[in-house]
Amino acid sequence: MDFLLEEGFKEEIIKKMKQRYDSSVLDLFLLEQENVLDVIHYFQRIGIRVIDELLLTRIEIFTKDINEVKDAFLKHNIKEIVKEINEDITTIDFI
Amino acid sequence: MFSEQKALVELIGKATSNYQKQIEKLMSENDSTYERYHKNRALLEESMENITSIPLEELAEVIAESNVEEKDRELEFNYMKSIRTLLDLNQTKQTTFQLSQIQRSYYERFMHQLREIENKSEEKVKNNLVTLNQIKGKIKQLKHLLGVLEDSKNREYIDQLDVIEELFQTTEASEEEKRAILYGILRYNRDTYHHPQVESQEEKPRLNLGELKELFASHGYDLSELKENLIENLLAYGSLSKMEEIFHSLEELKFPKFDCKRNGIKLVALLLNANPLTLEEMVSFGKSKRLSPKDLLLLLPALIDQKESRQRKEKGEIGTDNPCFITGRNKDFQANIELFESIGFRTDYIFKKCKELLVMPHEKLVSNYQKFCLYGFTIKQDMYGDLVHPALSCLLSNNFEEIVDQFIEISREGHRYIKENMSRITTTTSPKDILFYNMYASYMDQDDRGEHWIPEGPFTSTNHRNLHLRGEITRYAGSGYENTSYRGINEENKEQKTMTVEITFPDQEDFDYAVAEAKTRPTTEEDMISTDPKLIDLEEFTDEQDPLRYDFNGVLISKPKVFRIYNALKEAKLDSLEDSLLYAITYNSILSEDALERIKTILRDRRK
Repeated sequence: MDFLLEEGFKEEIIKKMKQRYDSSVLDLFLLEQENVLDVIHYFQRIGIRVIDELLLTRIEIFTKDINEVKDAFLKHNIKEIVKEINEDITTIDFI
Repeated sequence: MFSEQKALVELIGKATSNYQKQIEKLMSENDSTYERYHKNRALLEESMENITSIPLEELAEVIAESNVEEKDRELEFNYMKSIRTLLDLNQTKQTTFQLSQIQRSYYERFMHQLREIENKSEEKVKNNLVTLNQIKGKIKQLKHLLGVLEDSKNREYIDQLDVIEELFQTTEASEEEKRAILYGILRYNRDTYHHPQVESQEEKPRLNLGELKELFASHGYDLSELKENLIENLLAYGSLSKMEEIFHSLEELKFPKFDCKRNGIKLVALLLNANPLTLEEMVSFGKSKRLSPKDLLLLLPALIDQKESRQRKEKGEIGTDNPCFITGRNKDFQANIELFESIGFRTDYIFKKCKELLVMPHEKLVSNYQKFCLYGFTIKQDMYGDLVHPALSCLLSNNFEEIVDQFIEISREGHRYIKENMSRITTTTSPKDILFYNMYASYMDQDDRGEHWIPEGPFTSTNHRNLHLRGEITRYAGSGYENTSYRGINEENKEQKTMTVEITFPDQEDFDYAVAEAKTRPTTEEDMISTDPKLIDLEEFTDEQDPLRYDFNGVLISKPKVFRIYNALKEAKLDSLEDSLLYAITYNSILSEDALERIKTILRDRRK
C-alpha cells in the first residue's frame, strides 16, 4: 500500500484498512492502483475532504472505472453533492 | 522427484500418442464425409442438372448410407443412374429428354435421403468437435503434468490425481505399476509438505535481463515500460518457460493487450502466479456468466489457482504489500457466484456494484451473509445510486455485526433505523463511535431510553417515512465540523459526558483474547443459536417488540451479540467463570452505572 503513503495518506489509515478488509479486497485495490489514484485525484479536485473515511468504508468506489465515477457525479450538482458528502458520507450511496 | 517418475512419464507419452491418433481419426472423418454430402446437396438444390458432375459412386454412397432396404437399393441406384445419363445426354448431345413421373419420384426420394444423411453427418461432425476439444484438453493436462515432472527444480505438489487416474484407465499399466506410481507420488507430496523449498536466489538462478526483454518483445511488449520493482520481481521469481506459456495462453484466450505503464502490475501478477489450465477454465466459466476476459482482468485473483498461492503463503511470500504474489481465488469466485445466483442476483449486477465480493473467501462471504440475514436485512436492488450499494458494502466488512448490535442497544428505534439506513452500518467504523454516545446523550434527560424520544431523542421526526438521525448527532464526523460537538462530547470525554462506565472483569484479558480468537474464524450457525441452559434461561427477557433484543428491566441488549460472545467464551472453556455471562451481555455496551446494576441484579436473582 506504499502508493497511498506516497500520496500523503497516513500509515494509520492503511493499518485500519488492513484490519477492516479481507486481503482479497486489498489485493484488488492494489491491482487497480492506477485507477484508485485517478479516483482519489478526482475526489480531491472536486473538493471531497472525507477521502480517508471513504477508503475505510466504501473501498469499492476506488476500484470502479474512473469514467464511471465521473459520470455518476456529473448527474448531480457537484458543488452541492460534495458539500453533503463532506457533511455526511452516507450521501455517497445515493450518487 | 520420485523413483517411479520414469514409468509415469512413459505412460503419459503412450496416452498422448493414443490421443493424437484419435484426433487424426476424428479429423479425417470430419474432413471427408460431411463436406461431400454438403457439397452434393447444395449442387442438386441449385439445379437437378448438376447431377452429371457427381460421380456415380457418390450417388451409391448416399443410397447405401440411407435407410433403404437392401433389395431396393439397386433399383434406386439404377433410377438415379438413368436420370444422370439422360441429363448428361441433354447437356452434351443437346437432346431434350424429359424425366418420367417415376424417375422424378425417385429423384425426390434421393434428395430426401441426401438431406437426412447430411444432417446426421453434421451432427456427427459437431459431436466429433466436442470430443476433439475434450481430447485436446486431456493432452493439455498431460503436458502440464509432464512439465511439472520434468522440471527438476519443481517442488509443487502433484495434485492432478484425477488426470493420473484417467491415464491409468486409458493405458495398459499393470496393477503393480499403478500402485508403485501412486505410492511414489504420495511419498513425494509428503516430503514436499514437510520440507517446502523456499525459492531463493541460490537455488534458482536469476533470469537474464536480456532474455526477459526478448520474451516481452516477442509478444509485442516493451519491458522498459514496466515499473522498476515489477521487473525486479520478474527477474527474481519468474521462469522463462512458464512466462512464455502464460503469454501464449493470454493471447489464445483473447485477453486484451496490457498497457504496461498503467496495468503492468496485472500482467506481472499473471506471469508469476497464473497457469494456463486455470486461465482457460476461468475464461470459459466467465463466459457462461457474461464476463469477458477484459472483465476478468478486473477480478484477477479469480484467474489464479488457489492452491498455488497457498504454497506461496507457506513460504511467507504472500502479502498485500507484494503485488506480485496475489492470492488465487478461482474456487471462491465460482462458489460466490453460485451463492449470489441462489439468492436471485445476476453476476453482472454484483460485478458492477461491488466486484470485491466475487473474489472474497467463500466461507467468509457465507458467514457474513448469514449474519446479515439474521439481523433481518435484505439486499434490495436499485434502491440506491449507481455507484455503490450499502448492503453489499456490509458484506465486505469485517465487523458489521458489532455496529448493528450497538444500534439495536442504543435505542428502541435503532434496529428499525439501521434497516432503513443501511449506509450507516459501514460508515460507522467502531461500536464505540462518538455517534453512539451522541445518540445516548440525546436520551439522557429521559428516564427510559427511547420510550419518549420526542421532542428530544436522536431522530428527526416521526412524520418521515424513514427514520433519520438529526444533523447535530451525525455532524461531528463531517469535514469542516471538527470543532463541532453535540453537548460537548468528543473522543476524550465521551464516557464522562454521558456518565457511562467502562466495565472491567477480573478475567478480562482471557475473555478479550477468546473473543479476538473467535473473530478470526467465520461465524457459524451455532454462534447464532444456543442450547446453553444459561442462555435459555434468559429467553423470558426477550423484548416483545424485537426478538433480536433482550429488555433487562429497560436496558436493551442485542441477543445475537450475547450468543456470539458467550459461544466464543464457551469455545475457550471460559463459560463456567462467574462473570462470563455478564461479560457477554455487556460486551461493547454503553451503559450507565444504574443500567449495569439492573443487569447484575437480574443475573444475581437468576442464580438464587
